[in-house]
Amino acid sequence: MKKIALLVLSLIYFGTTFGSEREAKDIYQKAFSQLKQMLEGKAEYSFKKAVFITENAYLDGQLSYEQYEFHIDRLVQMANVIAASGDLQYTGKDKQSVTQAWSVFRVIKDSISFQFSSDDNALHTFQKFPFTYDMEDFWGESDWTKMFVSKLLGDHSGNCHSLPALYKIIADELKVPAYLAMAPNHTYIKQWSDEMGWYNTELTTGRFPYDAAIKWNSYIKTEAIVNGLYMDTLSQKQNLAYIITDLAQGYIRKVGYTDIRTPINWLDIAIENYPNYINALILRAELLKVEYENMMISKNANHFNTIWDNKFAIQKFKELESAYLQIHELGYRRMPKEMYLNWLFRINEDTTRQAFKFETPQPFKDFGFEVITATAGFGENAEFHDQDSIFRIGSIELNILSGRIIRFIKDIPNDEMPDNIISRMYDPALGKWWQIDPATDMLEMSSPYVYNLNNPINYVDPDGQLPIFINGKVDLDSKRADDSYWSTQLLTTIRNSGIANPGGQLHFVDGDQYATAWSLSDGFRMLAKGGWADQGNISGNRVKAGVAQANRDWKTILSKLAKDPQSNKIVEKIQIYSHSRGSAFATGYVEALMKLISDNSHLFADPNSVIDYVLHLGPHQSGLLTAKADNAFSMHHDDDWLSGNKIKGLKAAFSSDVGQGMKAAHDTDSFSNEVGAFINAFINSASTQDTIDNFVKAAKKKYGITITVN
Amino acid sequence: MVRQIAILLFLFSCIQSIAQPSIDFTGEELQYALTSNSTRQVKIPKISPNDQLAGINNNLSLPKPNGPNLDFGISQGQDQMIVHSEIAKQHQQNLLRRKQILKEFSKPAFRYNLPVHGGSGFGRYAAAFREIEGMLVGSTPVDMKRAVWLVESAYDPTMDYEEFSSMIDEGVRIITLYMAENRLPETNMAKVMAIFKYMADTITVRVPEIEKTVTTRPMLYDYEDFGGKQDPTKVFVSKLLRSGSGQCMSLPMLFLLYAKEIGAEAFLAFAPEHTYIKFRDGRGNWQNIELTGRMFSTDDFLWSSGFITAEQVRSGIYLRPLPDKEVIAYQAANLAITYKRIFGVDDFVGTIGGMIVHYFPNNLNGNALMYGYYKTLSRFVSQQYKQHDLSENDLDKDENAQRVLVSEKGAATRITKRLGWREMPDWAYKAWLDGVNEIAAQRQHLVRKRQLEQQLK
Repeated sequence: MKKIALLVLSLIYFGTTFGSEREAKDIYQKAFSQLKQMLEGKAEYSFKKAVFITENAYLDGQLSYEQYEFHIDRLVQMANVIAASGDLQYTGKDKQSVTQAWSVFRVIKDSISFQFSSDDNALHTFQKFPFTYDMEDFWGESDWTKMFVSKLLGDHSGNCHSLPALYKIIADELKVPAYLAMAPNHTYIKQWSDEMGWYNTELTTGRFPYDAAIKWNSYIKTEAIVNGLYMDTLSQKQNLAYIITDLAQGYIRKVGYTDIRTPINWLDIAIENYPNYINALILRAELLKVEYENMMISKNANHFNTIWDNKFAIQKFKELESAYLQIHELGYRRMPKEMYLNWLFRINEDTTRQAFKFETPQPFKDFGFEVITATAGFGENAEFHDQDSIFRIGSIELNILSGRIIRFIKDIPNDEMPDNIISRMYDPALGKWWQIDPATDMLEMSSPYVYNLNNPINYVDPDGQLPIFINGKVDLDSKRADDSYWSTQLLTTIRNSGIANPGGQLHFVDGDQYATAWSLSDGFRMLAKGGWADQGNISGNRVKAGVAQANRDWKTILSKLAKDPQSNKIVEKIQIYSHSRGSAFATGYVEALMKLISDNSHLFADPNSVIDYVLHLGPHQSGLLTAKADNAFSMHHDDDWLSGNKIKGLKAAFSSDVGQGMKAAHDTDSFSNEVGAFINAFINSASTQDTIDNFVKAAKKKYGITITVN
Repeated sequence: MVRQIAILLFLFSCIQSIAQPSIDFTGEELQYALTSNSTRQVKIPKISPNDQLAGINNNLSLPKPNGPNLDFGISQGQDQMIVHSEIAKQHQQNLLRRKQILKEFSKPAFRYNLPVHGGSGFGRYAAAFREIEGMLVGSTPVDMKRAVWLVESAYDPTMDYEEFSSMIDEGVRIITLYMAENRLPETNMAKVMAIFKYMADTITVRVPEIEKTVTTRPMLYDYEDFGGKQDPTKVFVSKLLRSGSGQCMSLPMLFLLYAKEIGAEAFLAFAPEHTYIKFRDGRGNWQNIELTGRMFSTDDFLWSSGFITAEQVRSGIYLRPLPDKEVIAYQAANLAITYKRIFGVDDFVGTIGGMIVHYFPNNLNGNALMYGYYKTLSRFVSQQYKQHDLSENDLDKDENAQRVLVSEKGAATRITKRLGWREMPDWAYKAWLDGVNEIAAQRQHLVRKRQLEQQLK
């Protein structure tokens, strides 16, 4: 399995450097004619094959169809096993097909153990990890192969282009009806169940949003949906048009703008079969613009209207205008920048920046009469369209009153959501953040299997090893419960430490909270963030906050822990890291976790050893704290006067002289090496004392750090 | 704003008196009802001689079926069955008598239609239907005010047209005076605003003909029986005019009537269990008016509060500004609904449904009526089979019965698959129900705010 992944990966890497431009163009032409044959019914339709053809063209024909099929077949088999073994709680008459759809979803998004016996009758367990969202270059701007299903199959992570495509491929193999559907810069899946009608599957987040949620979050005008621009199910021909558009984009990425007519012709055919396919329409318009710009360059023109002495130029420009106008008339509207940024801030719980509040325009403003407008949100999303007559589409600006293009846009600013032809990603942070956005909860869980409580979906943590990070005092709200609080090196160390968690998510908790005097309806205290001791942020209240938070996180944590398929008990472990102020919180958190584990011991295979260890890094006000776990440790640096080694009840307190000066000594980064050494020792030791001894040895040997044990 | 699609139909009571002549749709007339391809006008049935074998209205207690609510599409979340014991007794007697009669024949005579029952009041319904049909067909001009009155007076004949018309005229007069007094231009925006002001706000105008200054108060939402389940007149424009409070059907309808009178362009539109007003503002952008809350709303608000789906806006059952004739068709549906309350589901209801669907194939009300009609008919057919102790095999061989079953299935598929109609999730309805009080509280806040403004003026 690993070998094959390596092979695919290496092909993808090397493949892009093979071949000359002529050869590349030939391969692409061949690919197009193959797709065209499918379109005309002269070749058998296969979405799986069409995807392969397109990706292989970019990779100079170096991909092996056999291997591609092999990977897919295995997933198909797994899906069959899942469908056969699970018992979906669903009462509709179409239970069988919904169960199959459920199995496809799980094979992509869930963490599952399979057992199989090999030829020698030995029992093997195979752990399947979910396909995750690749946060790096999700637009595919530097690496087009980020879009590919073959890449997704190879390294197990993809984006909102490849994930739904893979889902569709597997569904097709199982003859499960599943349809691609479009949203702005995004693709998702639509399916039918007799109980619910049409429901949406969002593969980046693993949620099932209602249409209203997609619309509200994507800035879609009702008219665009009426016109079939978005949220419609794609037919076979439309799927092929979708793929041909991908081919055209890949072609441009491969050979640049040396040949624009070819992709335009391909897009014409795509549009013929899928007239309102927004991506094709926008791409085509943008290519026409490039052609026009080439004309300008050849005539040394610096503005588009300076070459209108030429009839041909005028005609081309008119063609350009009508292409963009058509897009506008279909109802396409570009998301306002502020709305996109608002979303980012909201998800990050960033309160340091002022969220842009979209005011509802007053219809009777001219008469001085103000009305209230009921909105779906609170001004975080724009719910009005067309308040101005200038519209941006792709890289042009249009004045809709005159129907003329008024500007070619040269520089596309970075913080805008790239809405151009190359981008097909929706929200870059979607896969990571939407799970914790409380606002969307209600509108996000609508599918026939979301309430299946037998098998909670583990779409976050690939293998269930759950490192929990509890941060201390933040200087930016965006760092709360976020990996940006922790040094990259520390996180990388933990990821590569040998505790199995390949590419998996880490769980972050905001330890810079304290319990207020009020309790909420769940019986636990209401928490407040940040602040100082005089406001209530004292260690005692942080401990209480940890208790409250752990109780609130309990269900989420449970869902992230993988189970043994036979006994159905949780077998995975938790490791806890806290820093600075977060240590007080962590002691409460751990205490509550331990109680919850013991109260629910029937859920665990080994309830007495669920928490591997608790590591307090640079614990603040250590003298006031008591560790409740019996495998808690702390690490302290001599120069760090904000922390100490006085936590009561520790198994061991480690100190060293790492880090020159207060800041360096306290920063999370300074603990990277020691944590690495500690984990290494932990894995290779049988007892706690062994761990301590081995840790001291390793720290000295590998990093030259002298650890003093108290 | 009301939600919850709970009942497809229930039969209120059957007013059956053996002495009454029965009215029967036969042959041609039934064709119209069963297929929507006909362009012919339906013939109002002639009264035929006393016929003991006329179909008996089924006083069934129906389980909660799947399908849109025929009762104005608005319900309060519970089935309500009202069974009158005397009528039930009569029904029993009819059945026995009927069985006796049937035994005298060698072959059982089946009905594959739901014969229309006469009764006092039917005449008004027939006349109303005639006039409304004329508007749809095009033999008479579209007159919304008249259509509304026809529907409401068919059920409640206490208000004559002159009275209804003059009540509307009063409002029009105030609106016109308001526009003049405030020197509003004759633009559509100004007119729409004036109507909104009149209905949703407190305004003061000097009325020269009575030499008085009149202050009018906003029209409110009546939370009691907003679905018209106990009292169908709750949804009437006439009730709104008389009492100053209405609900999500009467308020937008009245707005539309005012708009027609003063030459303003506004449209009615549907949302799940709801109607509202759409108009185009000065920029040509569509705006939504939510008269129940005396406010405006965004499309996103409607989508998320109604759980509207892409299929529903594409089929056009929701959020679409309705052309005038479709509003007339909607009134025809309301006519069928109050008719059903009195007489039950029969071919008259089927005819109306068929007519609506013929002119507006994607109209939800019309399709719902047809579905309800076929469902009742199909039950009627199966009931006849049971009465005659016939088996399912016989049912399979009976072409006419099969046709009915196919029609029923087709109507159901049409509503769910083609139109995209579906039930609101339970938890959503509950959440909405809990929020109703909140809205009422908000209303108080608005009222207080306005009172304060008035004081400060």
